[in-house]
Amino acid sequence: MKVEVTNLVKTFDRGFRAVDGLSFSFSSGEVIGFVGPNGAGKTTTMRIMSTLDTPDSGDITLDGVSVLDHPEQAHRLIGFMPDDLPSRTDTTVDEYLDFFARAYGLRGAAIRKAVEGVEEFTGLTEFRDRTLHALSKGMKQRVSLARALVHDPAVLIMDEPANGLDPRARIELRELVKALGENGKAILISSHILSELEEMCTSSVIIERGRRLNAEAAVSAETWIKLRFLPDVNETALPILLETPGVIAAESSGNGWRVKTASGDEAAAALAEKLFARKLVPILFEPEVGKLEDIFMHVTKGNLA
Amino acid sequence: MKLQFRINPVTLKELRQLVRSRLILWGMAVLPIVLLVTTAIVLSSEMHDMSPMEVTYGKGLGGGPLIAVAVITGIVTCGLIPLFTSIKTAIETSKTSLGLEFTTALTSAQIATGKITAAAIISAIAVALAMPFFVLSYLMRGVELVSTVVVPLELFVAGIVMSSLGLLPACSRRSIAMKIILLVALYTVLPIFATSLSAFMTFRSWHSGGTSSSWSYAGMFFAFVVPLLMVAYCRAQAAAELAPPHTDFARTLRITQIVMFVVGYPLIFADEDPCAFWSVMWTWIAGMIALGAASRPLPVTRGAVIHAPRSWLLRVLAFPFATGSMPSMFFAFLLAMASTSMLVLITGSTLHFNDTRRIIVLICECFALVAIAGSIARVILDTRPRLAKSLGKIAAAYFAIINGLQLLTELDVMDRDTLWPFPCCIEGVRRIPNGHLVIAIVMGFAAICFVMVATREDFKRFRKP
Repeated sequence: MKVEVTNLVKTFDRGFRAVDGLSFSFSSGEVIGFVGPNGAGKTTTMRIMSTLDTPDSGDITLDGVSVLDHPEQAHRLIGFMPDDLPSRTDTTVDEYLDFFARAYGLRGAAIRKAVEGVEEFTGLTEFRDRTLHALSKGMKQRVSLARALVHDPAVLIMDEPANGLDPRARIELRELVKALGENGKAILISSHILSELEEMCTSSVIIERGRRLNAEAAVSAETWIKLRFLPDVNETALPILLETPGVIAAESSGNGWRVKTASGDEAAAALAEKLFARKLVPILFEPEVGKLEDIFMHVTKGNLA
Repeated sequence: MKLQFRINPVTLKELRQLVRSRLILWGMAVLPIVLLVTTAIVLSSEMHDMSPMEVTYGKGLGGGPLIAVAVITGIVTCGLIPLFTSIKTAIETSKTSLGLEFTTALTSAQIATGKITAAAIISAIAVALAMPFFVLSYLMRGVELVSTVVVPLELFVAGIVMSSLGLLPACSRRSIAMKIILLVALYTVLPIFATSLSAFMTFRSWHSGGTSSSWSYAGMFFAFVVPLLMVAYCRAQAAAELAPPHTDFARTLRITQIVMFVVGYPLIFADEDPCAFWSVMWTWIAGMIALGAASRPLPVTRGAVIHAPRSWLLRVLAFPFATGSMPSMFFAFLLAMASTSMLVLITGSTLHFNDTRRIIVLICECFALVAIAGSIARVILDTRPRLAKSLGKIAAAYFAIINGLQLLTELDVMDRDTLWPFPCCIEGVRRIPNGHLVIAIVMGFAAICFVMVATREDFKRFRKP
């Protein structure tokens, strides 16, 4: 499944352009971080992708089929998880998921199978008879994810799923998203917690004022590599690192080092070779291929809409 | 072939939520007790008022309790249940949660149907709880058996209509506070007007010859066909209000308008008094279309743009038929009103400016005619050119037949009653003036409510970009 967003434009009242010619694409198995400051146009884009809004121009296609022209097909293929959480006093988890399974057109035994399947996947089985109102925020977030998955969509769109969650719930959510990506779903996920995104996303799209920013340019010049050596070598490594050809800068980082070098796999391989030649064998060698926070701060200007 | 019955998911969800509501559960528990106490009080009062002669000859009781039970059940099915379900819908539509339903395979029409059905089921339960008391009235020999069936059935149907009407403000794009104010107004003031429809019922009996076994066409139409058409119309209107982007929300609405018209119009000729029925029909259709026009404007269709005339003047004249927005509807109305007034003057009728009842019906007829013509034109314009031509011919033929029949009816009325040489519908108003006034007031009140809901937004949209 390939999702393509092409030249998307959305203007609201008084000429405010929330999305301004946005284009990007992603495919099955990819988890895309959708990053941008408040008012950048993330939610608007996601709502258009989920058929809850219409663009002024541009298109979104799923394997070449337009979401705008064939919303009924898109409904079957897309699962949308908005940033607001389900909270009703008169509906249980099971009834809520049962309703959406029916609403997606499932019938007969398929309804129970789908509901029980997503309850098990999201760890909601023991909470199925609780009313939505009585659940914690983390559990409500799971219900929201289960609802988006109940019809087994190929594409999952998640708007700020980690918003307001405690650390444990965030870690659990991250693991669920990773598992979904490994299962072949195409996932677009927005969040302000960039370190979280970095750990679960295969790549990212950064937008500001409705436009996509060129994140690749920001990381093309140089990159950082995390290094750690055995304790006896680690403490005396700095002078050797600074003298090594190709190393632009070096600094301590936790119980190891970070060295700045030219970006790209070749540069990293060359550095490793030179370290080995100087009998400096690392026990950790991890290129920080464009740290998302650094890239974000580098490319965005903090312009709020 | 395996027959698979699929219940509307929205109905199921609504019912699950309603049965969990303490208010509904307590209401259902208290209703039989209230009915029992009321029946006992009214029966004892009836017995107390009986003369010794009536006791001796075994005069039946039960007329009083039937009315009392009907009034209480009516308050529940036509007031409390619709109010409760509509406020629930109003709250739901004000939150973003309803939007999620539009990411599913559900359509806005299915959502509206599901909500009406759930309210209807709750109303049916309330009527079922009251049934023993209706039967008791029959057992006391105070009423006919048919009344114990027809009265609860009418209450049930009226309950569905009231729930459907409530969907309009509940689904409109206003603040939650405004929606609740409108709903409370709707369910307190409208039933009072609806009750005053009894004035119409006394003027023109619902049952021919005073027996309930032989219904007149008008009686059947107003007891069952009109409510069902009203439900269909409200459903279409609510679906249009709820419709997400990407959907042609106006299509269902236009089709419903046309079905109302096509089904209702020929029934006129089946009635024993076509003029009276004709005028009532027009008043009703006009009211319903006014509600629709007041609720939400229809965007100019692509088909209408393609077929737009080149001449500026023709474009101005054709525009009302290409959009259903309030300003254009009023423009079309004024246009039709002016031409009809001219016609009336030419035919030399006895219509005077102080003849309010007749003028009301004339206005309604003009409004309905323009609105329905606009709807038909839009459906034709929306289709492919070749199909549009065929549909246009069918519509023209239909209008020709109906209007031919209208002319024959007019001639017949003029022949029988030469003193009244003016259009048949005005003759109808002369025969049942109170009925027309009541319908016009009820529809007018509802239309004002919905204009309050929608006009501001309509005017905002009806502006050059």
